[in-house]
This record gives sequence, C-alpha cells and structure tokens, in this order.
Amino acid sequence: MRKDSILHYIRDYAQTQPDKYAVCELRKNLTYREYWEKIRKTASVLALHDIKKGMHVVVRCTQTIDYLVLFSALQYIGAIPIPVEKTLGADRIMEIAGAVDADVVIADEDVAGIRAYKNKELMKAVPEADEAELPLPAANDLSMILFTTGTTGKSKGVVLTHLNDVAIAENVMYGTQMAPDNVEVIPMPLNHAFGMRRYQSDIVNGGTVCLMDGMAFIGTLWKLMEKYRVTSMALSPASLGMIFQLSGDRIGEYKDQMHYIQIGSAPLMEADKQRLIRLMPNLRLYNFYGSSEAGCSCILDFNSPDNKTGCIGRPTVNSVVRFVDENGNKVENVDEEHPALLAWGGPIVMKEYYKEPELTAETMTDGCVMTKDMAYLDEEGRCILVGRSDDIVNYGGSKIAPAEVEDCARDYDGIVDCAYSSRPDAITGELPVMLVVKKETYDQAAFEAFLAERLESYKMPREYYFTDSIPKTFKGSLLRKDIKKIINEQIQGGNQ
Amino acid sequence: MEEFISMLKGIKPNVDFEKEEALVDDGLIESLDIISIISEISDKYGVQIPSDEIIPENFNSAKALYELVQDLM
Repeated sequence: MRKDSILHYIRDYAQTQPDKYAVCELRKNLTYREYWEKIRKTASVLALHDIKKGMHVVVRCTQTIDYLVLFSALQYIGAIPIPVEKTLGADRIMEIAGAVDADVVIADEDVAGIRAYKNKELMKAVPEADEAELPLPAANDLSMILFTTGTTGKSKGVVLTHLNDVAIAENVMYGTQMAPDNVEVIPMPLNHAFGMRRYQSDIVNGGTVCLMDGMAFIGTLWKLMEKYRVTSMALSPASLGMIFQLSGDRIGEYKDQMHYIQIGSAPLMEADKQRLIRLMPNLRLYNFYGSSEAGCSCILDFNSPDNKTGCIGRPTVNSVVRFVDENGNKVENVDEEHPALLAWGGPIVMKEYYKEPELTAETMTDGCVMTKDMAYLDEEGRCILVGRSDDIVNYGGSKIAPAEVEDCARDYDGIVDCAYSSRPDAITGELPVMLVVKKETYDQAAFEAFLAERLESYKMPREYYFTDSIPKTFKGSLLRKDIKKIINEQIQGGNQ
Repeated sequence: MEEFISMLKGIKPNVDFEKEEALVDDGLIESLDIISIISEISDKYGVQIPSDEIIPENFNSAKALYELVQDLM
C-alpha cells in the first residue's frame, strides 16, 4: 500500500531492515537505522536554529549523504526545501530566494540579506543532538519546490506534494522492475528532478543509493561498483559518454552484476546506445519521459522491440494519458493519422507553479499537465511522438533557455545582436554556442567576462561564431533553424 | 612543477593552483575541467591516467596530481 511520504518509508525500513545500507558515498554510508536517526537529530538542530514548519528554505545541493539528511530533516520538521545547484553564486541564490519567498538559506558560503546558515556548521552539531519526535507529513502536504527551466525555458518553481514524490517514485520503481536488493549509482545532481526522483524510488523500494558527483571522477564509479555490488545506474547521456571516454569498454565487465541503466535528461546518441547493447546485451536500458511538472510519465526499455522511431514507451503505473488540442480540450480518436497534444494526469501532477497562477492555468487543464509534444498511442499502448516544438538547449542534461542568455548578452556594449544556440557534441549531446554580430569595440575576453559575471557557468557559450546579421522573421522572432545552419556552415568551414 | 602549474592555469586561469588544496571539494574545478586536465596531461606528458586513479583525492591539489603523473611516467 502506498505510504504518504518518502519519510514514512525511511522510518519503516529503519525498523524492518535497520542494518541495510540506505545511502552511501565511497567512504561513508548510513544504514536505514542510522539514516533515520541522523535525520531526526538534524531536525532537532534545525529547530534549535528556529527553522520551523511552513518555512521556505533554499538549500544549496551537494552530492552527499549530508545533503540528503538535511533535505529530509527539513521535510521532517515541515519546512519546504528549495534545492538549488551547487555552483550557484550568492547573487543568484538570493534571486531564487526572492522568487520563492525564502525565509532561510542554507549554503556553504556567505549569503547576505537573509537569514543564512552553513551546511557544514549545522551538521557539526548533529552528533550531540537529540532525536526529534515529530508527526510525519501528510500526503497532500507540500514536499518541496523544484526550481526548473522546464519545457518553456522560463525559470519557475514547481510546487510538489509528498503524494507526488511517492507516486513518481513508484513509477520509477515499477517501471524499471526494480529488484528488492537494488543498489543504484546516482551521479546526477540531486537538485534536479532526475537525480532526486531516482533517490526517492530507491528509498520507496528499500534499496541502496550510491552517490557520486558527476562522472568525471570515473575511478569513484569503479570503486563503488566493487564495494557496494552496484546493480543499476541512473545516468545522463553525457555521463555515459564520459564512462566510454575515460574507461573504454570497462563497463562491460559488470554485465552479469548489473540489472539496468536508466538514462534521463536528454536522448542517448545512437552510437552509445549500440555500444552499450553490445557490451551488456542482457541489460535493461530505460529512458523515462517526463518533466518536473509530471514526473516519469512514460518508460521505454530501448533494448527491447518497443524501441522504434518516436516511441517513448508505455505509460507508467501512476500516469494518466490524455490527448488535448491547443486550448486544452480533450481530443478523442487519436491515432497515427490524427495525433494530438500529449497531456499527463494522475497523482504525479504538480500542485502548481509557485506564485504563477497564469502560467499554472496555461500549463494545466483539468488536473493534467500539457506538453508541446504531438503524439498518439499505437495498438499496443505504446506512446509515439510525432513532433515537438521548442528551442531549449540541452547541455548534458541541463536545460537552458536561449532567450535568457540572449537578453543578458545584449546588455554588453560591444555587440549589435546575438543568438544562443547549440551544436551536436559527442560528450554532452549539445554544446551551447553563440552567434554574435560584433561592434567595432567588441572584445572577446571582455564579453566572456561580462557573461561569466551574470550567468551560471553551465549556461556560458562554449564557442562563439560571428555573422553580419541574425536571421529573424518580419516580426523580429529569431529563425533558429537558420541560425543553426549558419553555425554549422562555419563549423564545416573551420571558422570560430 | 612550475611548468605543470602553468599547464593547469592554461585550463583554469582564475584558480591559484600553487596554494589551493581542495580544488574539487571546494568546487574550484568542475567536470569539464577534469576532462581537459586529463587530456592535456596525455598530450603534454604522454601519460594516460588509469581510470581507477581518476578520483577526487588525486585532483584536489596540483601537488597530488603532479605526484600521480610522476609515478606514471
């Protein structure tokens, strides 16, 4: 029977399987009993610092057990965590804090203008603290606000309930046919839906989570594989690319130990897919379709006959498929000849966008989240996409809205105009690039420094190309296909 | 060692590689920097860092990384 929150599962497993590892790093680990104890002690420390039920708390995410303890402790006291990326500077943290009406910020750097605590200092007090004894949250209580770029590119806060968390975790757990003793490596950031929901599914399953910070430190992966007998991984295409680049075919040595790999954040390149299948022919290879707003709504095992063009797999256990027109009206008789816009309903659907009633109304209709994907269900119940319209740059799983970067760049004096785009890249899938119309005063280093001061590092263009004018429609909208064409021509011509 | 540090500065100019001892733990170098460093070491010193050695401890300071490269040469 479904429980009300992820915390319910941790508490119950602390009693029924106290000595099983819950969360692990290479040199640290906590059993379920230890994890639950540390969450309750941390809750006491938070209470001593006057962090209370209902408060909005921005937490800078690190890929560590301590972060998960802190996050869970905030939920345990009834505060609403708002996880943010570990590379964010104090200014951007304050921007987000303002957008979500944060009461407190927890980050390992000085943040002025708001009540702020440092993770490390809070955690130092935990060993001596008492274990808090509080009621667990109810299913419809708020669990977190996920700050996301999402499908429209505009940053917004996705408000989620504990019911959402558990329902989505079940989608992952049943969708991957997770074994009870599953041990999963999660190198994906825990402030994003993909990383967080994999962690939550492993906890609902009563399995073990092994954390690592990205895949660049590939040696950590191999040590985790041996130490904890890892049986599954949650990867982005970029992290799989890094495994191949840094360790060749070594992953194939684990073909009998591993049950599945799930890929998220971006489509996997065909060559990497084929290489993985060759090395681990019996491995289940999953790709989830979903969003922060309606998580893990469809699952595809792409090492199966379901893997055909456009197929995103079969709807998951807690997802409701609905087809709608552009106004959100339900459409019947959808098939290959008559596709319609895909919408998702059920307990996986977010509560709302934080303080964005108009955007919430535009995105949700009758309890369903609308997408921009045109699709239909085939005779076997598989969901087939036939088209998609968006301009988002997906840099190794991080989604970047071009307009946001362009608006920032246009404030630089040395340029006339610019367009943010991407080009294909073997490691990250897409590489962010910028097409620039220069003024005579243009200075490359100064422009990059200007952007670096204003943008998160992952949004920085990795390459710059130059042109005389940016292709636009008569209304002034950027012609993004033509922009990509100019960039590709310059790449082929060797200009950068 | 000087040449080694200058190579690292070529990849990440704003980091004080002489002094910093928690390059990874403090987030001063990121994933893509690691890849660039591995590739530059391969080009410049002809050393392929074995994947088991690509762990944060070996990249937290220029000294640790330099010693690793010396051991592999």
